[in-house]
Amino acid sequence: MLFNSIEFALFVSAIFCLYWSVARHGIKLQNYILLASSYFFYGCWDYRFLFLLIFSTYLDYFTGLKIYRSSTVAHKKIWLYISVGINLGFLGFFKYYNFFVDSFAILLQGVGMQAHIWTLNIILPVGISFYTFHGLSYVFDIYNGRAKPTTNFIDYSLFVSFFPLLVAGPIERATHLLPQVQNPRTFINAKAVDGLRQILWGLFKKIVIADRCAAHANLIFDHSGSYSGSTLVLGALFFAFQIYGDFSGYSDIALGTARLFGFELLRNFSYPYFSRDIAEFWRRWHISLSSWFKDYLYIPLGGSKGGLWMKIRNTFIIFLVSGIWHGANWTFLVWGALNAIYFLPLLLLNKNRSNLEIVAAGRYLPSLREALSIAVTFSLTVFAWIFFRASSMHHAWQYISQIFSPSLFHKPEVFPVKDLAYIGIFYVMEWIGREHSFAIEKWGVTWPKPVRWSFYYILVMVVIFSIGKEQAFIYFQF
Amino acid sequence: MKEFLIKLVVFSVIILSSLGLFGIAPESSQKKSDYMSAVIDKHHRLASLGSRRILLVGGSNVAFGVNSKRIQDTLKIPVVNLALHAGLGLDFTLNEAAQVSRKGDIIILSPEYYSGEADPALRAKITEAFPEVSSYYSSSLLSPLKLYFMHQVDHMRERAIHTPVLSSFFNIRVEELPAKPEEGGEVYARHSFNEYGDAIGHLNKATPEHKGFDDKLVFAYRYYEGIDKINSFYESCKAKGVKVVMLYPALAQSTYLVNKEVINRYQSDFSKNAKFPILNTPTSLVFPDDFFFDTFYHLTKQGREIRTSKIIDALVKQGIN
Repeated sequence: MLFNSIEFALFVSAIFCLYWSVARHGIKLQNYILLASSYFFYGCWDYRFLFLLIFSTYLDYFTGLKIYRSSTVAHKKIWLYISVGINLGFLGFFKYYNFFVDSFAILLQGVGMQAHIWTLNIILPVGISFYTFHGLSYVFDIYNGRAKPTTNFIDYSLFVSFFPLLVAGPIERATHLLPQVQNPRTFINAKAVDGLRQILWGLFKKIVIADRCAAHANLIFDHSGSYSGSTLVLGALFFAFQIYGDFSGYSDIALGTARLFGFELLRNFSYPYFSRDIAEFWRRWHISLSSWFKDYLYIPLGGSKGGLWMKIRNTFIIFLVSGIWHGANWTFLVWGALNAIYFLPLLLLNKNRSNLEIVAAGRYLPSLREALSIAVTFSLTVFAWIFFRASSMHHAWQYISQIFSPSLFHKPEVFPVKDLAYIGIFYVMEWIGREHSFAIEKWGVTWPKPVRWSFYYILVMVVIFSIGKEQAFIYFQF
Repeated sequence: MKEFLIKLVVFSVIILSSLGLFGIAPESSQKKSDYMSAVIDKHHRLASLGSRRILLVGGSNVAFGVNSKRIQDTLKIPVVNLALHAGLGLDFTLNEAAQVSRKGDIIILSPEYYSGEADPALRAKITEAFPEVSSYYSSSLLSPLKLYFMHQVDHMRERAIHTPVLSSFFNIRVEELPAKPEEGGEVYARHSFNEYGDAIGHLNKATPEHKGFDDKLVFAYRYYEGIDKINSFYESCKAKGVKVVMLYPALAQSTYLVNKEVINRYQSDFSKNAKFPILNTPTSLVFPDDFFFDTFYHLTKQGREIRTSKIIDALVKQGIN
């Protein structure tokens, strides 16, 4: 059930009506309704893995209680290791088994040995990376004394499986979402309207921007050998907007949908393509994942507090793990390594926290220096995306070689003016709205109703006109 | 909450009314001359034949790349080429074959590599041309609603494209691509098919200057879930006395060379997991690029004849004659 589908719209409408109609009976019934609908939602993707989701949920619920009730640190550690081991074991098996087996086979062949390796036809459970991390964050927070466990299994299950964030995040924290699950929710008109507005903007990003860009990115990447370097640059650019529109659009729909039910989820994107340096980019891109790695991996490893080599080591570990989290392919590792290389100089020179506020706050335009910084950071990011999108290292190298060839100065064979104009308009809209949680959050709130409704009408009709193949969200494969 | 719901309903009514106003597609404007409408003739042929037929099933690689008359004349079994477009999805292809086949029929399945999900726009087009095919899709309760919605959106877009002010704003077609079936043209039209269901409009045409493929197209390896679907299809056909065999599709040499590793793994997955007979290997139908018309699946006249000979040989070896 994709977010940009009629089924999802009808599903949310039905659950919304049911959920608020029982509000006077208390949150217990509401939570049951949300949990049942979340399992139904997940089952529509693949009912076979509902068991795995429920098992993972119960594992973390149980070990969380055990960690909290253990009297010694040693016992706490045992339960922590059990939870982490089983969770990461499942994740590793479903996601990485074939990758490691194939890589091992290639390594053996490289030294002249034949290997009869058993690869398995493993189907990746949708959302496993996300709900595994939800559960792990709960267990870690209990172990570190940042949170207390809940004794209500329904509440905890809802925290893990809440359908807007179940299959592709944002990766929530128990300290943020669990209290909302446990406390009564009141219908607030302004919040619901905000939610709808954010859903509309998410659909715009996904259907109008991401899917349009996907058509060109796929064409150019899949036929990269027959295009000039200039076209391949455009291909990388299209992919950059495809992945941004796709993923941030999904997040907007998730956050907006959660608002309809009275929940506030963690923000996942904060205008990353306006970043002035890579450190800022990583504070604005997939925020829930990068903060998860920072809190549960980087800081426990020592963060940036140690000596030079520790800083380098920890930086590479974080970005490489982030890369491999995205998928079992060497291209993701290289993408991660490249970002580590970008980030390291800023860290070592203590410039990684230079740009904390949004660029040009309170001003219409950036300064020339800011504009150049944005352009450079964006270029570095787009270059790294080539590895992310390429199907293999061979493909990535071939793509990059073709870019840095004399054909870079040829006229592009693919130059869809209208779609580039859409990207331009979208970029401007994001720039105008950059000081808010999503671009059109404050658009029209002070306009007369007819004008405001006309704006929403135009947006909706543009989205409907742009409907084509239901392209699944990229991040659903994670 | 009441106020919120009222406003939401009013806004939704405005949107749906707009769709209704713009998007009503009268029956008389229905096009039955487009490429997808060829399904009508294929099914007419099916219905006109008695039992024991050879059904050629797959995407446009089969539509464009087989001489059904030669197969029929050699094996003395009537042939129907059901193939149309890989974009209709593997589910459609298999369900159609499963539903139209009868005891004694022989299905020769030749899907494109990694043939997958249906394109909703193509699905809407073929259903508009021949509503009976809607049962060939894995359907949900919402399928009729979705199809209606897509049909209305499609019709709305068609009208907008021809409206002076809106046309330049909403036209999202990528001009550089070669002619696609849904865009019409002599090669891609209902009248481009012969009585057996073979696409023949391209046979006497010069190949386009820019072919829609090159030597750097890269398939990503993944285990193909279509194997399991074809296994289920094979079992259900076997139960009703229908024979099913598979042949790998024809492929341009440059495309094969770049994807050799992936195709080898694809072949390995098939040989380990397929319950049905596979009569050839991927390399047996790899031809030089000159044997292809406009895509790395669409054979020219010369390539088509060589492939047909290989199919006949494979079928005879299998005892089908």
